[in-house]
Amino acid sequence: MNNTNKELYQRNLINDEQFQLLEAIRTEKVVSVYYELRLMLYLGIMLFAGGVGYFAYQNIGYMGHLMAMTGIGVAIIVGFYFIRKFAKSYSNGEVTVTLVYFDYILILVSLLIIALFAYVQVYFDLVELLLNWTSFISAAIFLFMAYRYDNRALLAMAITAFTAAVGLSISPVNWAKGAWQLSSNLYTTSIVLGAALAIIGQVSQYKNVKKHFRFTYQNFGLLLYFIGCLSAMFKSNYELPYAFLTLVSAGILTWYTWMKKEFLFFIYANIAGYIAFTYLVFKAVDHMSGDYFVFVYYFPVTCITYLLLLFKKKSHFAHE
Amino acid sequence: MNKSIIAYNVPELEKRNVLSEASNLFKSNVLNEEQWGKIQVEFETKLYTPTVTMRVLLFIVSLIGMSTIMGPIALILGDIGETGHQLLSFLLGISLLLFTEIKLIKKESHYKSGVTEAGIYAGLSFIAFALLGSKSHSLLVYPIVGFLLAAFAAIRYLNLTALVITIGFFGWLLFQVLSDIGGVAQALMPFIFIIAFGLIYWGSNKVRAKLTAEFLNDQFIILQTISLVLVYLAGNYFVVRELSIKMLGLTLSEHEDIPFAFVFYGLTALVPIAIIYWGIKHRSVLLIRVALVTIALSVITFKYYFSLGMPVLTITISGAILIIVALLLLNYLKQPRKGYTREKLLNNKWSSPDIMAVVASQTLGGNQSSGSVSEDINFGGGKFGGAGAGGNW
Repeated sequence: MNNTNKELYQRNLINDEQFQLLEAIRTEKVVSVYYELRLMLYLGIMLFAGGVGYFAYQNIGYMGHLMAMTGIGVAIIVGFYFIRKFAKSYSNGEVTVTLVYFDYILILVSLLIIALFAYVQVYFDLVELLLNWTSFISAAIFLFMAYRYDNRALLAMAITAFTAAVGLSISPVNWAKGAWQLSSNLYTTSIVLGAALAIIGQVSQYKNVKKHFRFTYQNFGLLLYFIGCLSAMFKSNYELPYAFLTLVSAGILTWYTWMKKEFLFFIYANIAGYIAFTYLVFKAVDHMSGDYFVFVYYFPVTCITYLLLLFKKKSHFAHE
Repeated sequence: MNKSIIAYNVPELEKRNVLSEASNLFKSNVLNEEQWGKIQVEFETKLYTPTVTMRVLLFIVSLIGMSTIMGPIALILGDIGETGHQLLSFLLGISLLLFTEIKLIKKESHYKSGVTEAGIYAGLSFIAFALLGSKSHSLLVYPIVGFLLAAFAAIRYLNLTALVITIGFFGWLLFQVLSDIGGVAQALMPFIFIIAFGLIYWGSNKVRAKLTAEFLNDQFIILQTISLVLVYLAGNYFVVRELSIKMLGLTLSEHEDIPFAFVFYGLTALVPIAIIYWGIKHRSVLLIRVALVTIALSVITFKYYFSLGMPVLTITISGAILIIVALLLLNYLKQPRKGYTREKLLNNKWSSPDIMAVVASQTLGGNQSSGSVSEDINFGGGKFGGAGAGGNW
């Protein structure tokens, strides 16, 4: 077979101009460094903002605070100059800005504001006074910037800062690693906050206010919710009610996401539901006979049954 | 190329490749809706590949199901002893592979559906257990068995993970052979690695130019990237020094250098420069990407040995340099120059604002619970988080 471009061209599925462009890309006559440059910017911002923040923290007690603060302040002002210059006015829809590195300036400025805020706080001895508010204020700053300038990365940072403020840490990485339990007894907070975020996401879509923020809200929300549920199941004194809560909510979410074909959330629901179900079976076995031999059969049988069920509806989730 | 080596139906693979390329072109606004519609009809394939998330779910569930299946069988058969277990494991592995190939791949036209991957991994793991058992063998046996099984999966089932593992086992095998021979062979190990993986890179470039099988593109990208990175790592001062001490039993005092240290300092500095030079000259994105990674590694290596003791300053300044260089390049490439453009020509398969949001929140701070000291809360998130280094979004 020919290469794809030739094949499409010979079958008259693409025109001359398209063929030329695609051949130029394939033979690397023209090369885009779009992603490379963005990755560089992102890494640069990550290192720079981290370094500035930590530098400020380290140098408390020496000379030059005011200069450092002024420096960060000037950087923020310069950043804002660009933001104001290129930003479009607020809209409930998705806003695209023509300046290629707009998003990155936005993130850098937001991080610098927070670095400055932390610096001021320590310098003027406000730490104790603001102890409980620091993370809330950071979250508020991120949230404002996220909505005003339409940026999902900032929204995600706002959500994680907010959850940090109430003592939680959410991370898809932990979830993937199998760290399902919270380190402290914050499961109620986690469940309530998670459910609230999921609902906010749903409302955003329903009310048509920044619809594209829904995924970010719900991704974090559902993670918090299920981690809270599972932790409660293993740790609280009301294990059975929590197990049933997990199972029922996972069941409802499974049904809903299946209808909407949102398979990432479908997976979250299925994993949480399966853990809760297994837990209940385990409890039942424990209660009746204590004959754990059942579990030698339990895992292969449940998994294979589940697969067969999924494959009955194979066409439902075929192809993107 | 003998097409029967591959378990899948090659014409179907080609169609699927055209479809996925065209789908990306459509998403990148190169093709219009009408063209995309026609292509979908002309290249319709019966290969079955679910969405990414679904594949993950199918993979996890199938893997648990298949790998726990030995339990009930062993229970039914009762006490069959070590050899019996090995035999059982072997038969189970073979049947899983046959099931995957005949039922899933040939009959149901599964292609990377998650279930096929689980079948291949579980099947090969059972076979590996059967061959190796729980006894200990010579250290050469493990990489040979691993290499053969992984290479089988990488070639017959076009499995990318297996390809990575194959390369890993090959590296281990080479290392083991050279260190068993000892003496000169051991001393020349870094250079033998450089030559071996350099040859693999060079050879795969030649093969790729000849082969018209575009559905193997991902395989070549992975093979070439890893080979190049290994060529670099084999000459990297830190790697050579640490491996000499840890694996080959070299003893060094605090400030002592390894033999021929200057050669490795040179390689650490020059290899990335050579790669980026070639990459820019020949406009190879693969080379440029590998070069960027190796440059970062070289900077870290030199910093590790010649530190100025101001890590925070280093981080801040290197961040600033990265930002400035990126902005300058963005500005320079406002108009395409020498075949380079800053504009997005085609969408990257993995780029999405949603994925970026998750990455940013995990690396850029804001994700530290306030249980600890509160004032450093805003910059605790991920100064050293390398999550962004691996991919694009």
